[in-house]
Amino acid sequence: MSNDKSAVLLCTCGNQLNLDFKGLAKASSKMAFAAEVITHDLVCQDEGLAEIEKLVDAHDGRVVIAACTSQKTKPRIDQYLQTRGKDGSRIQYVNIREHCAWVHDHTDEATQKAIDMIRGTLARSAASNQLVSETKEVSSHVTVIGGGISGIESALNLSNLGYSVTLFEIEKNLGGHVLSLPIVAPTGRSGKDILSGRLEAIENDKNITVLCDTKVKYVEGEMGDFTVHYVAGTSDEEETLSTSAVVLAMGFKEFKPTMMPEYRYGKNPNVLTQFELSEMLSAGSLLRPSDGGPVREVVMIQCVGSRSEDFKRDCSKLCCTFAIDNSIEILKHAPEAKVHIVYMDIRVPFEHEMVYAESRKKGVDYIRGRVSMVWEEKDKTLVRIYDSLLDKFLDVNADLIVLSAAILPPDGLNTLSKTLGYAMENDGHIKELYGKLRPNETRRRGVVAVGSVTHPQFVNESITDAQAAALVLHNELQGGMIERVARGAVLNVDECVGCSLCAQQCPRGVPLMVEQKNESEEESDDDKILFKASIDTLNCHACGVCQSLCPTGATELNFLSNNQLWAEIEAILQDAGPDYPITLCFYCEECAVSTIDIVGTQRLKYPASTRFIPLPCAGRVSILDILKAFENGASTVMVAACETGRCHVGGTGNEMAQVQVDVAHDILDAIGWKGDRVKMFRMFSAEPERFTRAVEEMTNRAKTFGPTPVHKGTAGKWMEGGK
Amino acid sequence: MSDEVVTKELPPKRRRMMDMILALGGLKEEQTIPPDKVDEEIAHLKSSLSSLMENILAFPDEYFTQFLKTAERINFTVEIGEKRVLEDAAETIEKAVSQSDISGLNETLRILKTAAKEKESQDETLAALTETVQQIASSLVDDPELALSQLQELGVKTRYGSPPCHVACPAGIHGQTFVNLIRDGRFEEGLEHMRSVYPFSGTLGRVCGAPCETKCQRGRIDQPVSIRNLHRFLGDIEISRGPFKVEVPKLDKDKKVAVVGAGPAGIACAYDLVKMGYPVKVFEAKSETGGLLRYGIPEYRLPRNIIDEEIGFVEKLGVEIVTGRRIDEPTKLLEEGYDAVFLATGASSSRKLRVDGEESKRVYHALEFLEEVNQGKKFNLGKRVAVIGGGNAAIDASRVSLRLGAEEVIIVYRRSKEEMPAISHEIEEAENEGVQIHILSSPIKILQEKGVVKGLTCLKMQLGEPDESGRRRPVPIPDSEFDIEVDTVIVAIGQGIDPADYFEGLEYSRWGTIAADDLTYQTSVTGVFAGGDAVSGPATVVKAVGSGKKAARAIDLFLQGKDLAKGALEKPTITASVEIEGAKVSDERRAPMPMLEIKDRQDFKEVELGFDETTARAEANRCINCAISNMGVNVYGETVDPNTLNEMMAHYVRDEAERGVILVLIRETGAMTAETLAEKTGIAQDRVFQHLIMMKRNEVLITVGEEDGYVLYDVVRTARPIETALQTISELALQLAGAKRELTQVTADLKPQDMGRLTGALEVFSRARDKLATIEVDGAVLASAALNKIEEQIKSALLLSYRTRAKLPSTRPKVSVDDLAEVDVPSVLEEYKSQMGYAPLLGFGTIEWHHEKCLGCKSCELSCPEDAIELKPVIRVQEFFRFSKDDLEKLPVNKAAFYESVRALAIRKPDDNIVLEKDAPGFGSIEIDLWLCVACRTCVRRCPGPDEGALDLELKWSLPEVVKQITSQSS
Repeated sequence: MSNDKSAVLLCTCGNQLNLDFKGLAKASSKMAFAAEVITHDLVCQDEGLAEIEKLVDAHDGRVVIAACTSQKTKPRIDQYLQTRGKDGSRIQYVNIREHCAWVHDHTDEATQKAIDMIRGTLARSAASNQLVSETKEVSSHVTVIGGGISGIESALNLSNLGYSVTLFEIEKNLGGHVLSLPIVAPTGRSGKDILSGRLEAIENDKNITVLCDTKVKYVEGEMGDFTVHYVAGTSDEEETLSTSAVVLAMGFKEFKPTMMPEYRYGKNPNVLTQFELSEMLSAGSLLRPSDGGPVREVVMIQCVGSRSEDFKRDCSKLCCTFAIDNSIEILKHAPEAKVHIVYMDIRVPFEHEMVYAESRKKGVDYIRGRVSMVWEEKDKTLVRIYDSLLDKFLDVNADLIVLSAAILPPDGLNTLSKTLGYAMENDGHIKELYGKLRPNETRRRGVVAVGSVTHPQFVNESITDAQAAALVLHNELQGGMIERVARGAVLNVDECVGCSLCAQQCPRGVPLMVEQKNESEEESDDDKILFKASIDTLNCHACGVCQSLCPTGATELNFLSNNQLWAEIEAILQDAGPDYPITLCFYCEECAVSTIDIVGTQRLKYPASTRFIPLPCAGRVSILDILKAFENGASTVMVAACETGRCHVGGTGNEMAQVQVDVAHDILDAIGWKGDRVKMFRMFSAEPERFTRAVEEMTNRAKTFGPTPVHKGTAGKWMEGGK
Repeated sequence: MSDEVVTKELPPKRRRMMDMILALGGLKEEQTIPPDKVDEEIAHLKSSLSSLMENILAFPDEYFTQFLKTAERINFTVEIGEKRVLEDAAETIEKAVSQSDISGLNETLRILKTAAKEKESQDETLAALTETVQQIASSLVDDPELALSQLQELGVKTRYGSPPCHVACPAGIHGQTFVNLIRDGRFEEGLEHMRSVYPFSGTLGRVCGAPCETKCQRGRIDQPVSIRNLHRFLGDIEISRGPFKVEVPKLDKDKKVAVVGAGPAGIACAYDLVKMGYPVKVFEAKSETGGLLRYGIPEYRLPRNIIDEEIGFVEKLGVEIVTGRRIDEPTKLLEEGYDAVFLATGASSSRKLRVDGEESKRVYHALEFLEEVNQGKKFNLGKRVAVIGGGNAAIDASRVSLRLGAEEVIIVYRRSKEEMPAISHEIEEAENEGVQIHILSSPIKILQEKGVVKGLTCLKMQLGEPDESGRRRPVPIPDSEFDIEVDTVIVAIGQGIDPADYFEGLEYSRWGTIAADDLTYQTSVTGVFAGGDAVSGPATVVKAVGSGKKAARAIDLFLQGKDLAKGALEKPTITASVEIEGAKVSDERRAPMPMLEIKDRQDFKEVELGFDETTARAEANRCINCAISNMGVNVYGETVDPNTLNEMMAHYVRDEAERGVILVLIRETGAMTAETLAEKTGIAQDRVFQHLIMMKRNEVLITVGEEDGYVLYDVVRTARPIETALQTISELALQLAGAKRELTQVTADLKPQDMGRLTGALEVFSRARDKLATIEVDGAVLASAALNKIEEQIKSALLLSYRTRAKLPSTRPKVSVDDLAEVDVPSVLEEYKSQMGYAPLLGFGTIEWHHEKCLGCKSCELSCPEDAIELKPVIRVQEFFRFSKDDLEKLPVNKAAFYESVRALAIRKPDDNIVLEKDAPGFGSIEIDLWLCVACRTCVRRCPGPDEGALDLELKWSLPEVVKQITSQSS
């Protein structure tokens, strides 16, 4: 048995597919890399699964399954084989249902497409490697930076999951902002009350080390091997700590509106921020700061610094609720007091609406408008309020003016990001990997962000965040013994020339560049400065960006080498030619595959002159792959990827693909081709029309542009051709 | 002095520094040039420059003296709006004065400082103005119209109010209305409107001075609508359609009115009175009606049938006209049973020149001359005729003279053509017909021979300060007499009332006209009214008509026993005006009037032929309807409900007034926020916001920043040309002052080391001259003669010094190693930087990039400590085709495969670089800024390319060599 041949398993999907299965089987069996061809009616059922197991055994795991979408079958098959201790890592899938039978009118054409794609996949399969399960032992220690509610909750959860935790807090005590909240809506309990149980638990938890009054300077390393550099108190001495993962829980910073002179903050002692009022109320006293007199008239001013082009564009989300909580609290202290809240819009999400209603019932005066000025007269503090509903100015003699100042990201996020490598939002918060699908994760594996460091969050949201993040880390660290199939980039160190392109462009910052010191001889100014990359496959997200950029081929995905892909391109395009112009489509197995599958399930039609090659991420396409497609006779080439800013592997795979496509386009133009033969398309995961339109555009272009120079035999004729 | 000798060891960094200084000093080059050669070159330059230097050094004095003269003449500081501009200029010139003594500058400085001081006092005016604005603001709610009219006086533009053509018309014709009606082909209605005002559709359509057109808003954008010709078009329609319908008014009033004089004022007055129902009788001394229309205006401008028809129409309405009846005592008419008398006897006696020879034969006076011509009298004017004066009568007399057979007609006028009071297109036509105009000439004597005119002696004039009429007063130039030989002289220098014609018992003004109240038209005798030229002195036809009409109203009030003064009081008018900045109008140009060909103008046939319907309607379509107050019609042509309209207008006027207040406040006191505006104007802040947004959208306002979180709005302020000119001139004065000082010093004793200073100073002169040559004042380049004269000389001097400098590559002072031991590194770097643009820190070198070995990995860029090397997103794709097989074999496999694929696919060799928009990892070409490179070799060492990498650094310690390399790269 030749070891590069694979079995082909054709699934008729219960005999309902519009394909010529006899022809398909016949053609497949003639293919060079086909060992045997089996047609089955329902591969996904037990009978079919048993058949697969048999084929895996017989062909050293090399099986090409031509059935419906692998999105559906693969998990099932993997699970089946896994329970039987079999390795399914070499199995390759061809989608002959959603990608062929359901989307083309003519059986012949659909069948031809299926044949070509099976041939391609056989070629890929021929060079496939068996992926082995790897283990890695890391310390089961996690560092939590920030001792507010989210940090405390993270630490407790991680400890419960069996990790030892070091919790850093820059202040003298744990608790953060929550400690000073007189009341936390909608619980009706004070911040202290909410924290007390947790603080006690931490104190009693042997797995948690708390370092208060300690500042983390920077953190370096990668998942499983981070080093935290920190200084305690006022000491200059830097200490270090090894840890496997980092939780960022630095909370937020309240904006101090000293640069807004109209509010007189910092000049008039009776002007406070909302949080300062919370502290005052928590301490149990409510007196006029200037002279200790009673508080009878309070003006709260909303959106100070928020929703402003000059300070913070967004709504700060929390301040309305804070103001309402505090206003009710004031009325508890001084029932006769009048509280005016001057607002633009009141925004109270969730159950906080109830509290809002309650405050209105209790007589809090809501004024829609803005404060035009605050000034002092004798020892009085006066506020002029413009009421936009009445179109009138009101002057109020206030004992307290409370500014609901914007909620800003904490200091130091930027500095930490320099070595920790997470991405930042424009507004200075930490960017989550993917809003809906991967919250709390950052761009760096092993670094999670919880609570208000990502955006302003309520106490209950922060708690949920912290719990979720703990699970994310647990999933990664697996209790310290990481064990999984290493599916990702593998580096051949001997081939690496140290150009660092992979390290520069990896969306997840996995490759590290290590300087090669010349130990034997003395260093000289003339010596080359040599680097080598180092890649931890277990940390890799398998997008292939490093591979498409590597000039030497030193780094390759272990399940899709360059040779595999090139062989597939060659095989799939075997019959492409001037009479049958083919559009080759590279698609990512994130958004693009979902969309293409949905096109199939909706039975939308598009031209059959298309051939598909799946890639883990569009970032895997190199310019060379595109050029090879043309060398092998493709008329047009398209790359289907996730929408801008929506790359699933970490943000930039689709952008790298765009670069490759753009450069290919320009080079083709320059060398006498039509650059428009290649184009990149972006799509969300359920936009079937977007895909059919794209395909139609590219098949049309194939027709319009006619035979390529490769078809005409003029390619490479620049030597004679001259200009 | 110590005897101890210290050997100075130079640290390595300082040694490199020294190399740089040696390069700066040009030490190496200088050693190769023999000193006698240097002296020879310098001596040669000196002698060549000697003839040029004097003029060049005198040039600034010449220019600024000239500038001062012009500046004083045009009183330029008045034109400069902002104090800051004056202060800045003064400051700069003060510096200039401190550097060199340039004549004219001290005086200029004094003027500027005084002007700046004066502007300071204007700050008080500003405060007063702000107060006015606030006062206006206080009436915004109660009387927005009043507010708006007051704002208009402060220059606020609004489309609310009356169209300016209407406001400008003394007779009160609604130009915009009839123009619109013509546009829509509704000629009858247009005529009806005219008839409701006066009977002179054809007459005024021909001879009106058209004050409406000078105010036409379209004219502020391109050219005014030809309102007068459209007016005439309606007159033509009227004639062509046969006699106009007459609806004879009922003469139901029991009081009678007598009008004296059947000229335009008298007829207009009678017309209005008869329409009110008063029996009116007009007494005319001459044998025919029309007054100056008939006796003063030549027939080629106003055919007689038009006068006949139009005055005939007035008669048909019931006005009785008695001709040939001279009234000597108007009060007697009151006794004869008339309840009121209107005197419209005109001012039809020509003014005398009062020079020797005026009594000679063939000296005529324009009015009398024209009258006789108009009555058919034949004249023999001889070959050459001189007409003295610049008004309409002068033009008429000159054109009539041509038609009477004169071969040459010369108008002699003492001011310039712009000041001529005649209708400008009449002047133009006169010139077209061959009339010559001698401007700035004033006759002082009429020469005669045997009592017959032989010629004129004139004095040349120049224009001085403006007089009270706003025209610049002619000032005689002493000893500039000259003679003109002529056969006839026609004096047309004005007209008035001959004291012999004064009415008994009436008071006369000191100008010799009848004294009458401006408002009530009452003379010193109750019941006797007066108007027209008889009161105002010579004026235009339309003014006379207007005055007759107003008098009719006054008389009506008088006859009803009402208080004249009160009844005549008028509300302030708001005149609409448009913003011309950014105004969009159609491309249509003003339609020219079809004219009789010059060769056909031998007799008195009418010269202007009138518009046809197409032309008229197209021309009418040019009206931009600047005033919206007549928009009582919606877009479907339906009349808008008056209540709705009133309401709309009420809103509109309030908006306009509020916007006006805001605009004036901002304009006068600088940028402001909505908050401040609301506070200062009392307008609610939301309304202020709306206005601001609207005005910003209409580009009347711009935002210029923020204050306490509020946006600051300001009007668009652009520097006036005179302001920019002053700025440039003062800056150049400073440069020239410095350069002049430098030149004076250097050329006193030219030394080789001063070559740089010499060329530098000359370059300043050259550049300053070129810049000054672009400065225009009053449409002409200031001191152009001086500028032109010096241009060649400066250029030659500069060229000569360039040449010499080129022969002495560097003539900076020598630097010795000893000097360098203590050298102040930062100052040397500074000097180097000022000369070279950048000071390198350590070393010099050149870097060669081998494309075929480059992986596009950017490692060099990332590792360069000086940011000197960069991977630019430029793909030199054509070079892919030059890499040898050997090169490709050495490359990493995928990089090589990429090049091979490109070559295998290519059907032609590319010829241009591919310039990408963004960085593309793995692609690009290296660019090195050698000015930044410190030759540290980090990039070379870091490059992962094959062999030794893609970069080669060659160290070079000679600055000139590196500079040569850099310049050859950039060229």
